[in-house]
Amino acid sequence: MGQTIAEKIFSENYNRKVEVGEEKLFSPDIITAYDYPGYIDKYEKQMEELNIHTVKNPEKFLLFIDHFYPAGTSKEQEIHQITRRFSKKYGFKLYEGAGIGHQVISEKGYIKPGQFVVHFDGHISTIGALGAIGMGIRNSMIEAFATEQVSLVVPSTVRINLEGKLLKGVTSRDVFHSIIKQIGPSGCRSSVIEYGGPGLKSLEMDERFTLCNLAMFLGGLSAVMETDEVTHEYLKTHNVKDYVDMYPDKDAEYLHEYTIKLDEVEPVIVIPPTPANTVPISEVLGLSIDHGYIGSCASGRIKDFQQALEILEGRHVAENFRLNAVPTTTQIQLQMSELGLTQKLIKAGAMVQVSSCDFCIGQMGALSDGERSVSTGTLNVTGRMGSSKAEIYTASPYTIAATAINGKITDPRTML
Amino acid sequence: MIKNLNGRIAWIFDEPNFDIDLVVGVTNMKIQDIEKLKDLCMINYDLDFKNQVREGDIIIGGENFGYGHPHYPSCRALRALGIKGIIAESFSPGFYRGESTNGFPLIECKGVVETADCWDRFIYDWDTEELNFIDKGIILKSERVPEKTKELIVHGDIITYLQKRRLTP
Repeated sequence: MGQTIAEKIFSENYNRKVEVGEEKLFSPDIITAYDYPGYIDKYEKQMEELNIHTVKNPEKFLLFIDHFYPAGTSKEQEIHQITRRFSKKYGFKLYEGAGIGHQVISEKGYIKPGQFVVHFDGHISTIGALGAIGMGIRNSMIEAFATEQVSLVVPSTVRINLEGKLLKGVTSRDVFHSIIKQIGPSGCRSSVIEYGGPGLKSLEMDERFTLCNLAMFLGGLSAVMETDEVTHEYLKTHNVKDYVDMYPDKDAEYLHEYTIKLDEVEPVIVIPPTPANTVPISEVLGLSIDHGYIGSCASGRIKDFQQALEILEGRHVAENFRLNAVPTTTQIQLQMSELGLTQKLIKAGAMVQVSSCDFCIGQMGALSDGERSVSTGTLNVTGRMGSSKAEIYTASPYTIAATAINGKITDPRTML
Repeated sequence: MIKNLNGRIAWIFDEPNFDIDLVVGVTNMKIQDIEKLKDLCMINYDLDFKNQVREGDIIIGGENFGYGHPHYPSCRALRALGIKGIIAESFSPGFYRGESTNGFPLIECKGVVETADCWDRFIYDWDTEELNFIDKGIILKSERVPEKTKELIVHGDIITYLQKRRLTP
């Protein structure tokens, strides 16, 4: 029997063929985390408790300061200090101010097809766009820090075949939420999502990162994509060499297989208070909105801002509407400037911000009671972006741009 | 050897994709004080839950229990009130990984929602992986529980597990 991409990755990692359901110790190629209270400070204490003062392969570890950035209080700065201290003690590479780690890790050339990477946060699945598996293992991260191995049951794979091309005004964000609508929020539960098919080739790398980033909301342990020319180009640009392409065997066995016709996907909105609530945009048209956010590890890349600007350029956001444009990384922020996107966003009335996770979690740009936001953030649960009496609607950059202009939910296709 | 779970079913969340943060309330995720968390636990479902529940009881869940961005305070509160585990149709993987790492018994068992009623008495046998509804005479076979999950239950938490099983020469 052939293997899925995930089975190939775990077999390579274990140095022999492993089957779905086998419980083994795997050795992540990269162990990564970000500054967050209750995590980094806890790992530091746990390593002391375990009497571990050095690690065997410090080059496998990568830490990021991307939350509470820039620090707004001395208490927030304390968690940065702990992160710096922890990195220094064990010889871990630390990136600070480079942007959101889930994306910086690929930008800096750490990710190669075939790798297995762990983080406490499941959005590390973003790297699946490059043919690697990133898995959020939550509080068992201490197992990785202490032993450089993690215990795992080899997961099944759900195959999602993409066909056709996206229509104007529709994005990979709409695709992902439409998949939830079609197969349900547990449609890929405890499996790795494998994206492939002819439609994948029509998606740019930025759109692929978005699709992989959100895997957890389909119940996925991770997501991974077949590699192709688009992958090769990205890896070449980021100085990644000596890798092998990732694709499944023709007779690979899947838990489920689904086909998504990209040209049938329409703009959708995820209504509060759960990422499971996808509805067609037609159901909420005209709803008044106070705030918009284009950014996060899911959607704050060049393609996202180019899409938003197809609507924003030459127009201005509605009076009293606050639109935050937050590049996912500092490198993207630089590219935005070089491409003239920053200037156009500012002229349209958007507030272009420094790269940080904080807008997604209401640490900055927070919502107050009774407000409504349209957001490309990862999540729309109650209280995620400030007040528990505010509402978050997640949508595509096109939809947010159109909504920002009118101050009410607007189908972006009417403005393109 | 893990001691069998033996108690009553204190609550049934039969809806799919249940967000565990709702047990103490999504706005209370930053609360660390366990007494405050106990006071908040389940108040949106049953104001008397805290008084009715006793050591050894469990919670029953539906499909994909723990969906969303699960945090730890809700299960801390449930444990502090004596809840010894959750048996669900299935768990969201992030929730499962997080709470099983805390040594909290989580068992997947198809048909449990349909079979269970509140305050049913039960025994769960870790060796046979069977859930026995004592008064109903119904026995359900659970899904296989991963070995590491069982070890974490035996050792109580990830640190003790690592010390005893993975870091001992």
